[in-house]
Amino acid sequence: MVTEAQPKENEVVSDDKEGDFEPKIIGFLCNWCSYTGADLAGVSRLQYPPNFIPIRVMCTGAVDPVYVIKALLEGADSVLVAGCHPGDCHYLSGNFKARRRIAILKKLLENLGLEERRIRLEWISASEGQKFADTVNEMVKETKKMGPNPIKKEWDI
Amino acid sequence: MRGTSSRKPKIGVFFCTCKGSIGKNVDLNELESRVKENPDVVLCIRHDKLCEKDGQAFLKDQISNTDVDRIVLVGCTPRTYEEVINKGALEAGINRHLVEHVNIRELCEWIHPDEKSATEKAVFLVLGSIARVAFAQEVLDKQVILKNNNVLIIGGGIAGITSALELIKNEISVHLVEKTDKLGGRAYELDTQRLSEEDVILPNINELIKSDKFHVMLESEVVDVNGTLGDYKVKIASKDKEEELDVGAIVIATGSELFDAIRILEYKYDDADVIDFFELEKMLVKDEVKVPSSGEIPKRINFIQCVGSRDENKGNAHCSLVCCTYAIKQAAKIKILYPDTEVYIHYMDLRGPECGFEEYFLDAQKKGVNFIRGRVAEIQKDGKNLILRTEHIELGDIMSLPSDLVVLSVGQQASVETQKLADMVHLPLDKDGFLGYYNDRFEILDRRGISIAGCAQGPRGVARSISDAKKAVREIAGIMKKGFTARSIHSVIDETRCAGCRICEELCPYEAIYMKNVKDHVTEESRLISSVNLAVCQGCGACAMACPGGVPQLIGYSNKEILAQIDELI
Amino acid sequence: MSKNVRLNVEEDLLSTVNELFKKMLEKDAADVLIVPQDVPSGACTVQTLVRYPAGLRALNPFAFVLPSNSADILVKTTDQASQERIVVVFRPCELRAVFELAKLNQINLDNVTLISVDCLGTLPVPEYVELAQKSENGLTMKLLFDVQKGGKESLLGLDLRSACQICELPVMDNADVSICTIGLNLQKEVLLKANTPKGEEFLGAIGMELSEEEDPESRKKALEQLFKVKAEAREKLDAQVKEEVKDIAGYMTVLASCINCHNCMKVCPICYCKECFFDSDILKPSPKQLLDKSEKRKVVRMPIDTTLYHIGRMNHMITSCVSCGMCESACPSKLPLLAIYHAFGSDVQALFNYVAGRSLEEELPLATFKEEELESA
Ligand code: SF4
Ligand code: SF4
Ligand code: FES
Repeated sequence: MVTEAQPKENEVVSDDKEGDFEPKIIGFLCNWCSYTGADLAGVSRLQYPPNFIPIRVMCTGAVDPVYVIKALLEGADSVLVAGCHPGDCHYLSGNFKARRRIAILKKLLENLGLEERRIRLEWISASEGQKFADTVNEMVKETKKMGPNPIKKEWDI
Repeated sequence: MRGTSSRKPKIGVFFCTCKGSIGKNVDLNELESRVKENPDVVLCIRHDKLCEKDGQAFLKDQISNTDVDRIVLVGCTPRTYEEVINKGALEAGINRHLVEHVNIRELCEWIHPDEKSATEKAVFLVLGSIARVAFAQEVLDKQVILKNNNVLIIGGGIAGITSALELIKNEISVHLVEKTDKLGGRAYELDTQRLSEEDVILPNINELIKSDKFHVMLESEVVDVNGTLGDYKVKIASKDKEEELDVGAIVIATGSELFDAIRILEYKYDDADVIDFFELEKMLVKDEVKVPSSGEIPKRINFIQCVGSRDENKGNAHCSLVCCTYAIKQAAKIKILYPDTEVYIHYMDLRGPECGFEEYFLDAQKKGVNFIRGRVAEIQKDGKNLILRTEHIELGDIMSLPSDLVVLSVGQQASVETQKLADMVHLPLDKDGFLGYYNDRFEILDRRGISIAGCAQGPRGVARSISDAKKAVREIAGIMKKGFTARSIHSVIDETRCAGCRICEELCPYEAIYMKNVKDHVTEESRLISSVNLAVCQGCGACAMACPGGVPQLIGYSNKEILAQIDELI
Repeated sequence: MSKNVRLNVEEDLLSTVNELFKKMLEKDAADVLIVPQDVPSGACTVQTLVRYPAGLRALNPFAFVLPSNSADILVKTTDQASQERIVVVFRPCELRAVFELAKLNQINLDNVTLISVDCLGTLPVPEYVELAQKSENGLTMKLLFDVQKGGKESLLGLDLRSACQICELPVMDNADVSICTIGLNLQKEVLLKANTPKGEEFLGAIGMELSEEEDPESRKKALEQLFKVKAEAREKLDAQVKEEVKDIAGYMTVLASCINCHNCMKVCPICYCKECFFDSDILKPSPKQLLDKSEKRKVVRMPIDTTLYHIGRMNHMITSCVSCGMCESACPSKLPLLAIYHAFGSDVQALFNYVAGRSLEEELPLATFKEEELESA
């Protein structure tokens, strides 16, 4: 029986060519600190690459790890969860709770061979526009170096 | 039901150019045309300044004239105009939870100079919010009625009594705890008519005692406070018993205490003829002043100001605000009683924050009261005579003044009770030890059902204590009577799905989650499930993340909404 | 040191233990027992609720089979208002689940006396049933002696469930009472230990006189040997599964045969939610969302969200996973779930210095936090 050559699995969903890979980074920003920090970066006209797509949440303590899993499974190349510095959470302790959840998730995904640096938890205050821009710049650079999220190759997730 | 596939959402997308500041890097035409491709979008329209009056009118007009049932606003950061715009939308009939804000100004226009990528990112952001708002649910602001609407007032001084009368006027039952054996505090021992800047009419204590809504506990003290707005349990220790009281709110009117002049040794407060202003006042209300040791009318009286005030080393750092006024008025009254008596007031500088002070000052001067600027170094005793050693700044001289009677104008300081209570209700004290931070943060405290009245907030006179107390209980009275509107972003719990593991209760930073007992009418199983106290919930979402079953959901930030957004963004 | 008493074996071990439990009911030390008994055909051993001595037909806490993790029975038989005094006989992995569930407020232990048995492992249910049907009476005793003796042929050549091969806690020393068999001459005696005041009182109530004897040497040795074997197996399995799923491609190979039945969640004692998040409406896409997916992803595996379920569920239960292996036993596709959960779970639990089910006192990692921790994460 003659069959036509099947496309290789990874060609089905991944359009990324090595080299000109533009990562997509999803960021969960807490309303009170990091989102405002991102605003400040805007007001200060600090430039950072457009690869970063923000989602506003009330607090890092409200970021269900399932959001991060979902983002990665859908093909986000990295995920940032950013909130108030320890002790400064608008809701007192949301960021401490987030830190536990993210640590657990990271451990699991690390075991599945997903680079630990694809998930980052950062403390960025409302006055740290520069830190926000720096974080995004750094993540884009790092993610480019790591290459596309390997999950994207698996269409049967 | 909205948010499921059975009903197609009709989304209106409003683009605001922010007076032309959006649109140079983000290609709005391209953005609009991409957004229009979304089948859920029924309206796509642009305006220059949605946050201003005509923008609001435009918004309302568009909403009223179309059948959009939810909207996405594309423009500047929601951190600035979210409330304004939500209010406008609400007036046009769109619930605030059916409004999504997309910030393409700070997050695109101003940071991405490259038009193509700025626009591309904007497209994602807007489509993400469209996907999210499609699952948004209309939730009307909830009116919360409280379980218990009695109020506990701690402190039976002027602030406590005023608060009690105000509340009773509003038909609210009041419990008042007073540590001494009678009501009234300092205010009723002063001639307030004479001392105060304004006309002060002290509330009538008898009227209060007659009211059947007034319950007083004398010689009692609060020892423990638990619970929250609408449901406080307060332990009160009296002489021979301890009891627990259920109340809905608490007014802290623990007042201040007078500085104890004995702490400044140089002023010889232990001498019979050195008294503080309060002791003088007790004589003045009887229209006579006698030298305690001799029973004679004093020929020379010296007032020393700022005793224990503005003195970090030996007393308190703060200014007590009322002592200058009191001293001047007391001095003037002495001059009326005994025109021949010499009266001196020793001051660093005179402070009279209330209006009218200057007139009283001039009046006292006219009556012959002498004002000497300088700190009194010490009081010496020469046989039976008191001698003040003091500097006279204007003359640049050190002088010794004999005196029959010395009056120390002692200031107010935070009372021990205030400090103990602050601890029980977890409120931080200001640097002077008062609950002074809260004057302009009423909203937060009202939500907790705690109000602070009178000198517990800081030194003040009778008139201000009365007006403060009225203000302090106004909100509380309203909340006790009508309940209040819950924060619009709060947690809701799907009771049928709650397994009662209590992790949410554990992780809620505000103790807003409480467990309630339910009995399954089929299985007869009795179990605890969680419930949200909307009076306290701040909408942080910790409970939502805590629960593996997704049982608590944050309104406007539900799993479904955010997952839909994530889906669209990638 | 725990108080203990040697119980002399009269006729045989099982009937001696049967008598012991009868005594509990006769002396009114318990209202209800939850104990494993052989079904009449002898084909399997199941948990039973027993209120009267006559209900104790064929007590068998040592059977080499575990059809389900019994912790769930306590979830179903206790509630806030529970008054009846319940005595249960569970295996260590079941008790660990009980501890986790008690901390999760799913079990009210107030009136429950927990009795543990030493566990030498269990066979997969179908294999056990086949064996039981073939063999004469006395299968349990035969296997017990075989295993105690050791050697290759010890289980008639059968392999224990992988959870049992790598078991970390084959004996439990913080149940109220433990029934110890390992390293003892079971033709002569078993050891009863009271590990808590409640346990002491309980054994006292059924007329046991407790002393403070040390474990016999033979037991110490046997346990040491057992721990060593299990630890080796554990290390091997952890390494093996980590290699197998060391990248997403490997993990997807494992998940390839998942049929989305969610049995693994249904039999998991730790999955206490009334409705699993991953079964709920929250994750149910609308028809439009589903069809739109095919546009974006070009090809979509159906049913959707298999991987989201697996990683998501793991993320929910992993801090409390007690490695009982029920998931793997229930999986129709024989996914190496226990191996994954054990390897990943011990990593995660180590982050918080936590071992699921080790004690009632340790706080659930997900129900608390510290201000100073995980700084580098
Ligand atoms: S949203 Fe936050 S404040 Fe409200 S009940 Fe949940 S955890 Fe408590
Ligand atoms: S039991 Fe097996 S097949 Fe069923 S959902 Fe779990 S892993 Fe998949
Ligand atoms: S509000 Fe910013 S992290 Fe909690």
